[in-house]
Amino acid sequence: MARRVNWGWWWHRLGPALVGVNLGGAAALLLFRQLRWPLALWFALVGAAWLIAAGWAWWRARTNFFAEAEGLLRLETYLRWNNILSAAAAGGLRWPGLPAQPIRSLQWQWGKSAQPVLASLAFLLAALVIPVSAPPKPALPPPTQLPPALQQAQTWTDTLKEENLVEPATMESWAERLEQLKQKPQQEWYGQESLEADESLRNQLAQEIDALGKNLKKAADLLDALQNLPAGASLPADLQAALNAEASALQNSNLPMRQELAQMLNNAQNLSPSQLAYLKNQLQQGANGLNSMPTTMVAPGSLMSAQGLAQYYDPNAQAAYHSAQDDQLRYVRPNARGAGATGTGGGTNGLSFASPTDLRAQKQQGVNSKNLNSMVPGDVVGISISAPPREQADGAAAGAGGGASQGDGGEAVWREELTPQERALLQQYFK
Amino acid sequence: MDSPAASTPPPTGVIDPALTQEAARKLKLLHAAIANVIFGQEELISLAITGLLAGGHILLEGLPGLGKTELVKCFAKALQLDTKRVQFTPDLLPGDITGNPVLQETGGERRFVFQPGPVFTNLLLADEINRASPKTQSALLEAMQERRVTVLGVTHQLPEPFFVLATQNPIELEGTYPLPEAQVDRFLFKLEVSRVATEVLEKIVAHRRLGEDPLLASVMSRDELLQFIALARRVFLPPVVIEYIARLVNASHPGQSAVSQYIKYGASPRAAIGLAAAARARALTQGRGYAGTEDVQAVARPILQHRLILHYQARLEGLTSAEIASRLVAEVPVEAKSLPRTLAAAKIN
Repeated sequence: MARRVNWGWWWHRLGPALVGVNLGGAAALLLFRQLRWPLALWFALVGAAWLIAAGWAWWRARTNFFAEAEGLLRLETYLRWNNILSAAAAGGLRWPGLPAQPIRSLQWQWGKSAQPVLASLAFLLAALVIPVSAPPKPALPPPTQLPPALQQAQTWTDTLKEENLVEPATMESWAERLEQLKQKPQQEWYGQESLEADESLRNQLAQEIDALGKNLKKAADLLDALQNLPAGASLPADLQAALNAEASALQNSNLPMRQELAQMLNNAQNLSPSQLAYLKNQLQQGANGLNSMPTTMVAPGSLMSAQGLAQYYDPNAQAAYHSAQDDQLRYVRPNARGAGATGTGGGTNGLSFASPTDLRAQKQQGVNSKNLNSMVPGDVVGISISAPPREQADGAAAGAGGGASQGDGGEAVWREELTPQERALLQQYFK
Repeated sequence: MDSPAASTPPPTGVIDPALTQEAARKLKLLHAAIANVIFGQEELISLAITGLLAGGHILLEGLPGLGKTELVKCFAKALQLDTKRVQFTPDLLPGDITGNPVLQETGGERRFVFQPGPVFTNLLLADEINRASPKTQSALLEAMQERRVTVLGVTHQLPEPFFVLATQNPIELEGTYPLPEAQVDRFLFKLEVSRVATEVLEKIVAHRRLGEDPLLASVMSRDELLQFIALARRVFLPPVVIEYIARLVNASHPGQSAVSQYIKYGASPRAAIGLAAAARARALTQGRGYAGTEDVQAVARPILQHRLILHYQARLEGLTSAEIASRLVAEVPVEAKSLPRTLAAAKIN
């Protein structure tokens, strides 16, 4: 009797303690799973907490524990024996005969005491099975390296300044534009908008440099033709027209030639042989220098070293990282719409797998996620670069213009032959 | 209850059941004899027998004409005890109670000879005790407690057994002096004599004549009573009952229980001793050699009610000390420790 009552008091104290331990354990379990800590440690901690709770419950309940005398009193109160058992136990009476049937004087009230514990165990079980996503990676320090596009643009503008072929005021304006992009906060350097602006500036500058180089080369060739005219011969009209056209092109581009050289070019037919030679030399050197610059436009995305990539953090871009062990990492912008299509050149594609050592996106490549099991809906698995799937010519009859494919309403048509006018112009300039 | 096994020897201190059964039979006869005279007061008679068996003094309180004095006379007749009656009046002197030295001349010599007072008896009926002056009331203090009287430095032992059965009128009239707490505390029981039902009244009218003493045969002798008193003292009191008595008396003090908010001063250890003695006596009247908590609960009210000094708040709410004593018994549980919520007492089929 006393033992059963004591168990009841111990459970009475243990129940609330178990509820607290289980709820705390459930919260801890969620944390452990989120932080990827070992569950064996959690089991050990919860087990220890249960033991402590059991000990604490015993400590709190012990003042209510029944001794043998109190158990006898409880029993004789139930039987209405008016302290017969107590008197017999104290030696004041002979022990009475006990009833033949077992005495059930106490009933367990499991409903009230077990429900909270069972509910807390359900919380514990729920914490074990519900999916938990990994915590967001901590913010990396601001990048120290300029984006590649800006670096390229900076290099190009420095080279142009050294060449001293372009009007200084124009170079200043280009430098200002470059400086505006560099003045953005470092955290935003590798943001999508910033990268797009950088690439737009670089691409624009590359186009202008290409055009300038070509025009300088043409102008130098025309000056060479002018030099080779027989002495006393008049300037042919087409040569004059070509010189005027080139001078105009060089003056009206976004990289206008230096005023002094432009004036000389405009007055080429009146230059002395030495001046003509000087001008031609300047233009030739400038053209050689510009044409040798690596102004190839790179497809969206650029190669970066592992160290460089690890130095920045762009939450908006949702960068997908390869393993940090790889020397080459590739950063792509997943939100850039795939430009890959027939007739429009390269661009991003849907999800695919990438090889970190391949420098060119000429084939389907892919990225892999090392930890797909911990991903929840909404997480980016990976992004890729791939060459656009080029539609092969379907062998249809090539009409005028030599269209390789008819297209399919709205698509650009890829032509493989030149028109006669285009052919004549090219022949004229590239004799 | 099953009878104890006869093959095993009784534990030390166990009273022979034959003695307790014989005592119970005799006491039942006494009860029946007195109930044959005092109609409709069975509980009063039981408690009075219990009080006498416990060796205590009894204070009977009731309106005039309810049979208080008649009850005492019945006890005197049934127990063959020497009885003296003292009518307390305001002019009563202490010497009238205890006795006085009287100057006598014997053989040519004059000396004071002590003349015992009415207190030198077995059963002293102190009628209307609250009419005497406090000085006269205090003359009973030593006699009731010590069972002896000291006059002019000489102590005189009172005979055994010695009981004081006092009566008092609950109506506060002119010329009455409330008993001091010290004297009230020396009464084991305070029994309230209440009016009887109509049916009992019919019986009284049918069997009683005005001024006629009822006939009552002797039931037991003085020596038998002394034996039963000694036997009552041997009745076993289990430790759990002792612990219950202690908790009950302790709960009567302010701040120790819910009902004690109405109590200014609680019961004394003398009350606890009285509870134990009365519980033993009651157990003997039931034929048992041991006392239980039920016995304590049965005698708690008459023992505690005159020992509780109430707050004015209780009087404002119209509560009497008897009601407070009853609430106290109801509030203090028999078991000191309760069951946890996870366990419940099963019902007896």
